[in-house]
Amino acid sequence: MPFLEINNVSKSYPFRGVQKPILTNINLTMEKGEFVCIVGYSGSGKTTLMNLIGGLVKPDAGEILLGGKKVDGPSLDRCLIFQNYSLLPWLCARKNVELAVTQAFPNASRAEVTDRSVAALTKVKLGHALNRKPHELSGGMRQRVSLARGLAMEPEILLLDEPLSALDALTRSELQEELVRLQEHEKTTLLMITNDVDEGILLADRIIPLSAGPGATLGEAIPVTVARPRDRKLLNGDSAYHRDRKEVIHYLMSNGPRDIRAAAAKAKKATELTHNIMMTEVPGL
Amino acid sequence: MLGFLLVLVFWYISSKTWAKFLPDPIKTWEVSKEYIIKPFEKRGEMDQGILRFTWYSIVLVAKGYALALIFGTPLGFLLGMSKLFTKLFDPLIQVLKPISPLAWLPLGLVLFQKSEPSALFTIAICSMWPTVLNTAIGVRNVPQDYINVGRVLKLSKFKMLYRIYIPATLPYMFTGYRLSLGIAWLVIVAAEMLTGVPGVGGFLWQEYNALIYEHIILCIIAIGLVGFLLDRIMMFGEKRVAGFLS
Repeated sequence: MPFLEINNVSKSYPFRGVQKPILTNINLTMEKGEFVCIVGYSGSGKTTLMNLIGGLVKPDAGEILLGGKKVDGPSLDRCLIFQNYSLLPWLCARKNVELAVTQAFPNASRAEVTDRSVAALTKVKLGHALNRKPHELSGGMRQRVSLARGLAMEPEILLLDEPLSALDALTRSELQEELVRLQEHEKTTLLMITNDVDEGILLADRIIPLSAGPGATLGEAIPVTVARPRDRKLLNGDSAYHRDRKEVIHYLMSNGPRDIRAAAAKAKKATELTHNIMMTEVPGL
Repeated sequence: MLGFLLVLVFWYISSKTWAKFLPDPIKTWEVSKEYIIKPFEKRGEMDQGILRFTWYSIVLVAKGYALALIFGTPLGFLLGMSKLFTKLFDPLIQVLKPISPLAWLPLGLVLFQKSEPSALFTIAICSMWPTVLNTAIGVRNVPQDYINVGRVLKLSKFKMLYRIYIPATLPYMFTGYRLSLGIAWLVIVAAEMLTGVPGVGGFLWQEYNALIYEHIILCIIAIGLVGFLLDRIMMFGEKRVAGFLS
Protein backbone atom coordinates (compact mmCIF):
# COMPACT_ATOMS: atom_id res chain seq x y z
CA MET A 1 0.00 0.00 0.00
CA PRO A 2 1.44 3.39 -0.91
CA PHE A 3 2.20 5.79 1.95
CA LEU A 4 0.61 8.83 0.36
CA GLU A 5 -2.22 8.46 -2.09
CA ILE A 6 -4.01 11.30 -3.85
CA ASN A 7 -7.03 10.19 -5.85
CA ASN A 8 -8.69 12.46 -8.40
CA VAL A 9 -8.43 15.57 -6.29
CA SER A 10 -9.85 18.80 -7.69
CA LYS A 11 -9.99 22.24 -6.15
CA SER A 12 -11.47 25.48 -7.39
CA TYR A 13 -11.70 28.91 -5.82
CA PRO A 14 -14.30 31.59 -6.39
CA PHE A 15 -12.83 34.40 -8.44
CA ARG A 16 -14.96 37.45 -9.26
CA GLY A 17 -18.14 35.48 -8.72
CA VAL A 18 -17.21 32.40 -10.76
CA GLN A 19 -15.55 29.21 -9.63
CA LYS A 20 -12.09 29.12 -11.12
CA PRO A 21 -10.54 25.66 -11.27
CA ILE A 22 -7.07 25.60 -9.74
CA LEU A 23 -6.29 21.91 -9.72
CA THR A 24 -8.09 19.21 -11.65
CA ASN A 25 -7.76 15.44 -11.40
CA ILE A 26 -4.63 15.31 -9.32
CA ASN A 27 -3.35 11.78 -8.85
CA LEU A 28 -0.21 10.94 -6.96
CA THR A 29 1.18 8.00 -5.02
CA MET A 30 4.29 8.04 -2.90
CA GLU A 31 6.06 5.25 -1.08
CA LYS A 32 7.38 5.66 2.44
CA GLY A 33 10.86 7.18 2.44
CA GLU A 34 10.55 8.48 -1.08
CA PHE A 35 11.71 11.92 -2.18
CA VAL A 36 9.44 13.44 -4.81
CA CYS A 37 9.75 16.87 -6.37
CA ILE A 38 6.90 18.65 -8.07
CA VAL A 39 8.12 21.10 -10.64
CA GLY A 40 5.82 23.66 -12.16
CA TYR A 41 5.11 27.23 -13.12
CA SER A 42 4.50 29.87 -10.52
CA GLY A 43 0.82 30.52 -10.04
CA SER A 44 -0.14 27.05 -11.20
CA GLY A 45 -1.57 25.93 -7.87
CA LYS A 46 1.48 24.36 -6.25
CA THR A 47 0.81 25.99 -2.92
CA THR A 48 -2.84 24.95 -3.07
CA LEU A 49 -1.71 21.37 -3.62
CA MET A 50 0.52 21.58 -0.53
CA ASN A 51 -2.27 23.08 1.56
CA LEU A 52 -4.53 20.23 0.44
CA ILE A 53 -2.04 17.57 1.52
CA GLY A 54 -1.27 19.53 4.68
CA GLY A 55 -4.97 19.50 5.49
CA LEU A 56 -5.38 23.27 5.58
CA VAL A 57 -7.92 23.26 2.75
CA LYS A 58 -10.40 20.58 1.78
CA PRO A 59 -10.60 19.24 -1.79
CA ASP A 60 -13.83 19.80 -3.75
CA ALA A 61 -13.61 16.27 -5.11
CA GLY A 62 -11.42 13.23 -4.58
CA GLU A 63 -9.53 12.18 -1.50
CA ILE A 64 -6.08 12.19 0.03
CA LEU A 65 -4.92 9.17 2.02
CA LEU A 66 -1.87 9.08 4.24
CA GLY A 67 -0.89 5.66 5.59
CA GLY A 68 -4.34 4.47 4.54
CA LYS A 69 -6.10 7.16 6.58
CA LYS A 70 -8.07 9.96 5.00
CA VAL A 71 -6.57 13.42 5.44
CA ASP A 72 -9.10 15.50 7.30
CA GLY A 73 -7.42 18.58 8.70
CA PRO A 74 -3.82 19.24 9.72
CA SER A 75 -1.77 16.73 11.66
CA LEU A 76 1.60 16.82 13.39
CA ASP A 77 3.05 13.99 11.30
CA ARG A 78 2.51 15.97 8.11
CA CYS A 79 4.62 19.03 8.52
CA LEU A 80 4.10 21.84 6.06
CA ILE A 81 6.96 24.26 5.45
CA PHE A 82 5.49 27.42 4.06
CA GLN A 83 6.89 29.32 1.13
CA ASN A 84 6.51 32.65 2.93
CA TYR A 85 8.28 31.38 6.08
CA SER A 86 5.28 32.17 8.30
CA LEU A 87 7.27 32.84 11.44
CA LEU A 88 5.56 34.52 14.34
CA PRO A 89 7.16 37.98 14.43
CA TRP A 90 6.83 38.42 18.20
CA LEU A 91 8.89 35.31 18.97
CA CYS A 92 12.64 34.91 18.50
CA ALA A 93 13.98 32.15 16.25
CA ARG A 94 14.38 29.71 19.16
CA LYS A 95 10.89 30.38 20.55
CA ASN A 96 9.36 29.93 17.10
CA VAL A 97 10.91 26.47 16.88
CA GLU A 98 10.12 25.68 20.53
CA LEU A 99 6.43 26.31 19.97
CA ALA A 100 6.45 23.62 17.28
CA VAL A 101 8.54 21.21 19.36
CA THR A 102 6.22 21.50 22.40
CA GLN A 103 3.34 20.58 20.13
CA ALA A 104 5.13 17.67 18.44
CA PHE A 105 6.54 16.28 21.71
CA PRO A 106 3.95 17.08 24.37
CA ASN A 107 5.72 14.92 26.96
CA ALA A 108 9.14 16.46 26.50
CA SER A 109 10.61 18.40 29.41
CA ARG A 110 11.34 22.11 29.13
CA ALA A 111 15.08 21.43 28.75
CA GLU A 112 14.49 18.78 26.11
CA VAL A 113 12.32 21.16 24.10
CA THR A 114 15.06 23.77 24.18
CA ASP A 115 17.74 21.22 23.28
CA ARG A 116 15.82 19.93 20.28
CA SER A 117 15.10 23.46 19.07
CA VAL A 118 18.67 24.62 19.41
CA ALA A 119 19.88 21.45 17.67
CA ALA A 120 17.54 22.04 14.73
CA LEU A 121 18.60 25.66 14.42
CA THR A 122 22.26 24.69 14.61
CA LYS A 123 21.65 22.18 11.84
CA VAL A 124 20.53 25.00 9.56
CA LYS A 125 23.54 27.09 10.66
CA LEU A 126 21.63 29.51 12.82
CA GLY A 127 23.25 28.62 16.13
CA HIS A 128 24.44 32.22 16.41
CA ALA A 129 21.03 33.80 15.86
CA LEU A 130 18.87 31.89 18.34
CA ASN A 131 17.53 34.94 20.11
CA ARG A 132 16.91 37.14 17.12
CA LYS A 133 13.42 38.13 16.09
CA PRO A 134 12.36 37.39 12.49
CA HIS A 135 12.66 41.06 11.51
CA GLU A 136 16.31 40.96 12.57
CA LEU A 137 16.99 38.07 10.19
CA SER A 138 17.54 38.13 6.44
CA GLY A 139 15.07 36.43 4.09
CA GLY A 140 17.30 33.40 3.74
CA MET A 141 17.76 33.12 7.51
CA ARG A 142 14.00 33.27 8.04
CA GLN A 143 13.56 30.50 5.52
CA ARG A 144 16.07 28.44 7.47
CA VAL A 145 14.24 29.04 10.76
CA SER A 146 11.08 27.86 9.06
CA LEU A 147 12.94 24.77 7.82
CA ALA A 148 14.38 24.14 11.30
CA ARG A 149 10.87 24.33 12.74
CA GLY A 150 9.79 21.56 10.37
CA LEU A 151 12.88 19.41 10.96
CA ALA A 152 12.61 19.70 14.74
CA MET A 153 9.11 18.24 14.67
CA GLU A 154 10.47 15.04 13.09
CA PRO A 155 7.33 14.41 11.05
CA GLU A 156 6.72 11.31 8.95
CA ILE A 157 6.35 13.41 5.85
CA LEU A 158 7.76 16.85 5.21
CA LEU A 159 5.84 18.97 2.73
CA LEU A 160 8.19 21.61 1.44
CA ASP A 161 6.81 24.53 -0.52
CA GLU A 162 9.78 26.05 -2.35
CA PRO A 163 11.78 25.98 0.87
CA LEU A 164 15.11 26.97 -0.64
CA SER A 165 14.02 29.66 -3.06
CA ALA A 166 15.32 32.65 -1.08
CA LEU A 167 18.73 31.23 -0.20
CA ASP A 168 22.15 32.00 -1.58
CA ALA A 169 23.81 29.24 -3.62
CA LEU A 170 26.07 28.05 -0.81
CA THR A 171 23.44 27.79 1.92
CA ARG A 172 21.12 26.30 -0.60
CA SER A 173 23.44 23.45 -1.44
CA GLU A 174 24.14 22.83 2.26
CA LEU A 175 20.45 22.53 2.98
CA GLN A 176 19.93 20.34 -0.07
CA GLU A 177 22.48 17.99 1.45
CA GLU A 178 20.59 18.14 4.75
CA LEU A 179 17.41 17.07 2.96
CA VAL A 180 19.20 14.15 1.31
CA ARG A 181 20.60 13.14 4.71
CA LEU A 182 17.12 13.34 6.21
CA GLN A 183 15.79 10.94 3.61
CA GLU A 184 18.73 8.54 3.94
CA HIS A 185 19.10 8.42 7.71
CA GLU A 186 15.77 9.39 9.20
CA LYS A 187 13.73 7.69 6.47
CA THR A 188 11.61 10.79 6.24
CA THR A 189 9.29 10.98 3.25
CA LEU A 190 9.78 14.26 1.44
CA LEU A 191 7.51 15.99 -1.01
CA MET A 192 8.99 19.19 -2.28
CA ILE A 193 7.77 21.85 -4.64
CA THR A 194 10.37 23.68 -6.63
CA ASN A 195 10.65 25.66 -9.81
CA ASP A 196 14.24 24.60 -10.26
CA VAL A 197 14.50 21.52 -12.45
CA ASP A 198 18.15 20.97 -11.54
CA GLU A 199 17.34 20.98 -7.85
CA GLY A 200 14.71 18.35 -8.51
CA ILE A 201 17.17 16.14 -10.38
CA LEU A 202 19.78 16.53 -7.66
CA LEU A 203 17.42 15.56 -4.84
CA ALA A 204 14.44 13.56 -5.97
CA ASP A 205 13.74 9.94 -6.76
CA ARG A 206 10.98 11.08 -9.09
CA ILE A 207 10.04 14.40 -10.61
CA ILE A 208 6.41 15.14 -11.30
CA PRO A 209 5.71 18.09 -13.53
CA LEU A 210 2.64 20.23 -12.86
CA SER A 211 1.02 21.78 -15.91
CA ALA A 212 0.18 25.47 -15.98
CA GLY A 213 -3.14 26.61 -14.56
CA PRO A 214 -6.03 27.20 -14.59
CA GLY A 215 -7.05 23.65 -13.89
CA ALA A 216 -3.49 22.44 -13.50
CA THR A 217 -2.84 18.73 -13.32
CA LEU A 218 0.14 16.51 -12.62
CA GLY A 219 1.95 14.96 -15.55
CA GLU A 220 3.47 11.52 -15.77
CA ALA A 221 6.15 10.98 -13.13
CA ILE A 222 9.69 11.11 -14.50
CA PRO A 223 12.04 8.83 -12.55
CA VAL A 224 15.43 10.42 -12.02
CA THR A 225 17.98 8.06 -13.47
CA VAL A 226 21.10 9.78 -12.16
CA ALA A 227 22.78 7.39 -9.72
CA ARG A 228 23.09 8.25 -6.02
CA PRO A 229 25.04 9.69 -4.32
CA ARG A 230 24.71 12.59 -6.71
CA ASP A 231 27.46 15.12 -6.92
CA ARG A 232 26.40 18.53 -8.16
CA LYS A 233 29.85 19.15 -9.61
CA LEU A 234 29.72 16.05 -11.76
CA LEU A 235 26.08 16.45 -12.75
CA ASN A 236 26.87 18.40 -15.88
CA GLY A 237 28.97 15.61 -17.33
CA ASP A 238 26.34 12.94 -16.63
CA SER A 239 24.34 11.87 -19.65
CA ALA A 240 21.50 10.62 -17.40
CA TYR A 241 21.19 14.14 -16.01
CA HIS A 242 20.77 15.65 -19.47
CA ARG A 243 18.24 13.02 -20.45
CA ASP A 244 16.14 13.60 -17.31
CA ARG A 245 16.37 17.35 -17.61
CA LYS A 246 15.26 17.31 -21.23
CA GLU A 247 12.27 15.16 -20.39
CA VAL A 248 11.06 17.47 -17.59
CA ILE A 249 11.56 20.61 -19.61
CA HIS A 250 9.84 19.07 -22.61
CA TYR A 251 6.75 18.36 -20.51
CA LEU A 252 6.72 21.84 -18.99
CA MET A 253 7.18 23.55 -22.34
CA SER A 254 4.39 21.64 -24.01
CA ASN A 255 2.03 22.02 -21.03
CA GLY A 256 2.85 25.58 -20.10
CA PRO A 257 0.72 28.69 -20.25
CA ARG A 258 -0.54 29.61 -23.72
CA ASP A 259 2.26 32.05 -24.59
CA ILE A 260 4.97 29.60 -23.61
CA ARG A 261 3.27 26.87 -25.57
CA ALA A 262 3.23 29.13 -28.61
CA ALA A 263 6.89 29.94 -28.10
CA ALA A 264 7.67 26.25 -27.86
CA ALA A 265 5.82 25.53 -31.08
CA LYS A 266 7.62 28.38 -32.79
CA ALA A 267 10.96 27.15 -31.54
CA LYS A 268 10.14 23.69 -32.85
CA LYS A 269 9.20 25.10 -36.23
CA ALA A 270 12.41 27.12 -36.31
CA THR A 271 14.52 24.02 -35.64
CA GLU A 272 12.67 22.15 -38.36
CA LEU A 273 13.30 25.04 -40.69
CA THR A 274 17.02 25.15 -40.00
CA HIS A 275 17.03 21.42 -40.34
CA ASN A 276 15.43 21.71 -43.78
CA ILE A 277 17.83 24.42 -44.86
CA MET A 278 20.70 22.30 -43.68
CA MET A 279 19.28 19.36 -45.57
CA THR A 280 18.92 21.31 -48.77
CA GLU A 281 22.06 23.29 -48.54
CA VAL A 282 24.50 20.75 -47.33
CA PRO A 283 24.41 18.74 -50.54
CA GLY A 284 24.95 21.95 -52.48
CA LEU A 285 28.20 22.58 -50.68
CA MET B 1 5.16 78.43 21.51
CA LEU B 2 4.15 81.37 19.31
CA GLY B 3 0.69 79.83 19.08
CA PHE B 4 0.29 79.93 22.86
CA LEU B 5 1.43 83.54 22.90
CA LEU B 6 -1.10 84.51 20.23
CA VAL B 7 -3.91 82.86 22.22
CA LEU B 8 -2.81 84.77 25.34
CA VAL B 9 -2.95 88.04 23.41
CA PHE B 10 -6.36 87.17 21.95
CA TRP B 11 -7.57 86.23 25.44
CA TYR B 12 -6.32 89.54 26.87
CA ILE B 13 -7.95 91.61 24.10
CA SER B 14 -11.20 89.67 24.40
CA SER B 15 -11.40 90.25 28.13
CA LYS B 16 -11.02 93.99 27.53
CA THR B 17 -13.47 94.29 24.63
CA TRP B 18 -16.39 91.92 23.89
CA ALA B 19 -16.17 89.48 26.83
CA LYS B 20 -16.42 91.80 29.80
CA PHE B 21 -16.99 88.98 32.32
CA LEU B 22 -13.90 87.04 31.19
CA PRO B 23 -10.98 87.62 33.60
CA ASP B 24 -7.75 88.58 31.83
CA PRO B 25 -4.64 86.34 32.02
CA ILE B 26 -2.94 88.36 34.76
CA LYS B 27 -5.95 88.34 37.02
CA THR B 28 -6.43 84.63 36.34
CA TRP B 29 -2.89 83.95 37.48
CA GLU B 30 -3.28 86.05 40.63
CA VAL B 31 -6.51 84.41 41.71
CA SER B 32 -5.30 80.92 40.84
CA LYS B 33 -1.71 80.99 42.04
CA GLU B 34 -2.69 79.77 45.50
CA TYR B 35 -3.92 76.56 43.86
CA ILE B 36 -0.88 76.18 41.64
CA ILE B 37 1.87 77.02 44.13
CA LYS B 38 0.43 74.66 46.75
CA PRO B 39 -0.99 72.10 44.35
CA PHE B 40 -1.61 69.38 46.96
CA GLU B 41 -3.05 71.48 49.77
CA LYS B 42 -6.41 70.51 51.22
CA ARG B 43 -8.29 73.41 52.78
CA GLY B 44 -11.76 71.95 52.53
CA GLU B 45 -13.77 69.38 50.58
CA MET B 46 -14.22 71.69 47.59
CA ASP B 47 -11.17 73.89 48.19
CA GLN B 48 -8.02 71.97 47.36
CA GLY B 49 -4.85 72.39 45.29
CA ILE B 50 -5.32 71.87 41.57
CA LEU B 51 -3.16 68.77 41.35
CA ARG B 52 -4.99 67.24 44.28
CA PHE B 53 -8.27 67.72 42.46
CA THR B 54 -6.72 66.43 39.26
CA TRP B 55 -5.46 63.38 41.09
CA TYR B 56 -8.98 62.55 42.31
CA SER B 57 -10.18 62.79 38.73
CA ILE B 58 -7.36 60.62 37.45
CA VAL B 59 -8.15 57.94 40.03
CA LEU B 60 -11.82 57.98 39.07
CA VAL B 61 -10.95 57.84 35.36
CA ALA B 62 -8.52 55.00 35.99
CA LYS B 63 -11.26 52.94 37.63
CA GLY B 64 -13.81 53.61 34.90
CA TYR B 65 -11.22 53.07 32.20
CA ALA B 66 -10.16 49.77 33.74
CA LEU B 67 -13.78 48.66 33.61
CA ALA B 68 -13.96 49.72 29.97
CA LEU B 69 -10.90 47.61 29.09
CA ILE B 70 -12.01 44.61 31.14
CA PHE B 71 -15.35 44.49 29.37
CA GLY B 72 -14.33 46.02 26.04
CA THR B 73 -11.38 43.77 25.13
CA PRO B 74 -13.19 40.42 25.34
CA LEU B 75 -16.19 41.96 23.63
CA GLY B 76 -13.90 43.06 20.81
CA PHE B 77 -12.47 39.54 20.54
CA LEU B 78 -15.94 38.04 20.34
CA LEU B 79 -16.93 40.53 17.65
CA GLY B 80 -13.76 39.87 15.68
CA MET B 81 -13.96 36.09 15.88
CA SER B 82 -17.64 35.34 15.46
CA LYS B 83 -19.68 36.41 12.47
CA LEU B 84 -22.88 35.49 14.32
CA PHE B 85 -21.90 37.70 17.25
CA THR B 86 -21.13 40.56 14.87
CA LYS B 87 -24.53 40.20 13.21
CA LEU B 88 -26.28 40.16 16.57
CA PHE B 89 -24.48 42.99 18.32
CA ASP B 90 -22.82 45.24 15.78
CA PRO B 91 -25.98 47.26 15.01
CA LEU B 92 -26.58 47.65 18.75
CA ILE B 93 -23.03 48.93 19.28
CA GLN B 94 -23.40 51.39 16.44
CA VAL B 95 -26.51 52.76 18.18
CA LEU B 96 -24.94 52.89 21.66
CA LYS B 97 -21.69 54.47 20.50
CA PRO B 98 -22.94 58.01 19.75
CA ILE B 99 -24.86 58.40 23.03
CA SER B 100 -23.50 61.32 25.05
CA PRO B 101 -22.18 60.85 28.60
CA LEU B 102 -24.78 63.40 29.70
CA ALA B 103 -27.43 60.90 28.67
CA TRP B 104 -25.84 57.88 30.34
CA LEU B 105 -25.21 59.53 33.69
CA PRO B 106 -28.85 59.91 34.81
CA LEU B 107 -29.41 56.28 33.85
CA GLY B 108 -26.39 55.35 36.00
CA LEU B 109 -27.87 57.29 38.92
CA VAL B 110 -31.14 55.44 38.49
CA LEU B 111 -29.33 52.09 38.37
CA PHE B 112 -26.84 52.57 41.20
CA GLN B 113 -28.41 55.33 43.33
CA LYS B 114 -24.92 56.60 44.23
CA SER B 115 -22.75 59.14 42.50
CA GLU B 116 -19.43 57.29 42.28
CA PRO B 117 -20.66 54.02 40.74
CA SER B 118 -22.81 55.93 38.28
CA ALA B 119 -19.81 58.08 37.27
CA LEU B 120 -17.77 54.89 36.76
CA PHE B 121 -20.60 53.37 34.75
CA THR B 122 -20.72 56.44 32.52
CA ILE B 123 -16.97 56.55 31.95
CA ALA B 124 -16.82 52.83 31.22
CA ILE B 125 -19.74 52.70 28.81
CA CYS B 126 -18.70 55.83 26.89
CA SER B 127 -15.02 55.01 26.59
CA MET B 128 -15.14 51.30 25.77
CA TRP B 129 -16.22 51.56 22.11
CA PRO B 130 -12.85 52.38 20.53
CA THR B 131 -11.36 49.43 22.44
CA VAL B 132 -14.18 47.13 21.31
CA LEU B 133 -14.05 48.18 17.66
CA ASN B 134 -10.27 48.33 17.30
CA THR B 135 -9.81 44.97 18.96
CA ALA B 136 -12.42 43.50 16.62
CA ILE B 137 -10.64 44.97 13.58
CA GLY B 138 -7.33 43.65 14.89
CA VAL B 139 -8.71 40.15 15.32
CA ARG B 140 -10.21 40.19 11.83
CA ASN B 141 -6.85 41.31 10.43
CA VAL B 142 -4.71 38.59 12.00
CA PRO B 143 -2.74 37.38 8.95
CA GLN B 144 -3.91 34.03 7.61
CA ASP B 145 -0.26 32.93 7.69
CA TYR B 146 -0.14 33.06 11.48
CA ILE B 147 -3.44 31.23 11.76
CA ASN B 148 -2.13 28.57 9.36
CA VAL B 149 0.94 28.12 11.55
CA GLY B 150 -1.36 27.58 14.51
CA ARG B 151 -3.43 25.08 12.56
CA VAL B 152 -0.45 23.13 11.24
CA LEU B 153 0.95 22.96 14.79
CA LYS B 154 -2.45 21.79 16.04
CA LEU B 155 -2.61 24.45 18.75
CA SER B 156 -5.53 24.07 21.11
CA LYS B 157 -8.21 26.78 21.07
CA PHE B 158 -6.74 28.34 24.21
CA LYS B 159 -3.18 28.29 22.87
CA MET B 160 -4.39 29.67 19.55
CA LEU B 161 -5.85 32.60 21.46
CA TYR B 162 -2.89 33.50 23.62
CA ARG B 163 -0.03 32.42 21.36
CA ILE B 164 -1.43 33.74 18.05
CA TYR B 165 -4.51 35.96 18.31
CA ILE B 166 -3.60 38.11 21.31
CA PRO B 167 -0.01 38.94 20.28
CA ALA B 168 -1.08 39.57 16.68
CA THR B 169 -3.92 41.87 17.81
CA LEU B 170 -1.93 43.78 20.44
CA PRO B 171 -1.08 46.85 18.30
CA TYR B 172 -4.74 47.33 17.35
CA MET B 173 -5.79 46.83 20.95
CA PHE B 174 -3.37 49.52 22.06
CA THR B 175 -4.67 52.01 19.53
CA GLY B 176 -8.13 51.31 20.94
CA TYR B 177 -6.83 51.72 24.49
CA ARG B 178 -5.34 55.10 23.65
CA LEU B 179 -8.53 56.40 22.04
CA SER B 180 -10.58 55.03 24.95
CA LEU B 181 -8.45 56.84 27.47
CA GLY B 182 -8.99 60.09 25.58
CA ILE B 183 -12.75 59.62 25.79
CA ALA B 184 -12.64 58.56 29.43
CA TRP B 185 -10.88 61.83 30.25
CA LEU B 186 -13.47 63.80 28.28
CA VAL B 187 -16.29 62.11 30.16
CA ILE B 188 -14.85 62.70 33.63
CA VAL B 189 -15.63 66.41 33.63
CA ALA B 190 -19.25 65.88 32.65
CA ALA B 191 -19.59 63.06 35.18
CA GLU B 192 -18.15 65.11 38.02
CA MET B 193 -20.22 68.16 37.14
CA LEU B 194 -23.45 66.21 37.36
CA THR B 195 -22.59 64.10 40.39
CA GLY B 196 -20.66 66.70 42.39
CA VAL B 197 -17.82 64.27 43.11
CA PRO B 198 -14.68 66.19 44.17
CA GLY B 199 -12.27 66.46 41.26
CA VAL B 200 -11.18 68.87 38.62
CA GLY B 201 -14.57 68.83 36.86
CA GLY B 202 -16.54 69.16 40.09
CA PHE B 203 -14.33 72.07 41.14
CA LEU B 204 -14.88 73.76 37.78
CA TRP B 205 -18.65 73.57 38.10
CA GLN B 206 -18.58 74.75 41.73
CA GLU B 207 -16.43 77.77 40.90
CA TYR B 208 -18.77 78.67 38.04
CA ASN B 209 -21.63 78.69 40.51
CA ALA B 210 -19.47 80.70 42.95
CA LEU B 211 -18.76 83.23 40.17
CA ILE B 212 -14.96 82.71 40.46
CA TYR B 213 -14.41 82.57 36.70
CA GLU B 214 -10.60 82.57 36.98
CA HIS B 215 -10.75 79.04 38.36
CA ILE B 216 -12.75 77.85 35.38
CA ILE B 217 -9.82 78.78 33.17
CA LEU B 218 -7.40 77.17 35.60
CA CYS B 219 -9.38 73.94 35.45
CA ILE B 220 -9.61 74.01 31.67
CA ILE B 221 -5.86 74.37 31.39
CA ALA B 222 -5.28 71.57 33.91
CA ILE B 223 -7.70 69.26 32.09
CA GLY B 224 -6.04 69.96 28.76
CA LEU B 225 -2.53 69.36 30.04
CA VAL B 226 -3.41 66.12 31.81
CA GLY B 227 -5.27 64.85 28.74
CA PHE B 228 -2.26 65.66 26.60
CA LEU B 229 0.12 63.88 28.99
CA LEU B 230 -2.07 60.77 29.17
CA ASP B 231 -2.22 60.60 25.40
CA ARG B 232 1.56 60.91 25.14
CA ILE B 233 2.08 58.10 27.63
CA MET B 234 -0.30 55.87 25.68
CA MET B 235 1.36 56.77 22.39
CA PHE B 236 4.68 55.69 23.84
CA GLY B 237 3.16 52.38 24.88
CA GLU B 238 1.58 51.99 21.46
CA LYS B 239 4.91 52.50 19.73
CA ARG B 240 6.58 49.97 21.98
CA VAL B 241 3.90 47.41 21.17
CA ALA B 242 4.14 48.11 17.44
CA GLY B 243 7.91 47.66 17.65
CA PHE B 244 7.40 44.33 19.33
CA LEU B 245 5.47 43.14 16.31
CA SER B 246 7.45 44.47 13.39
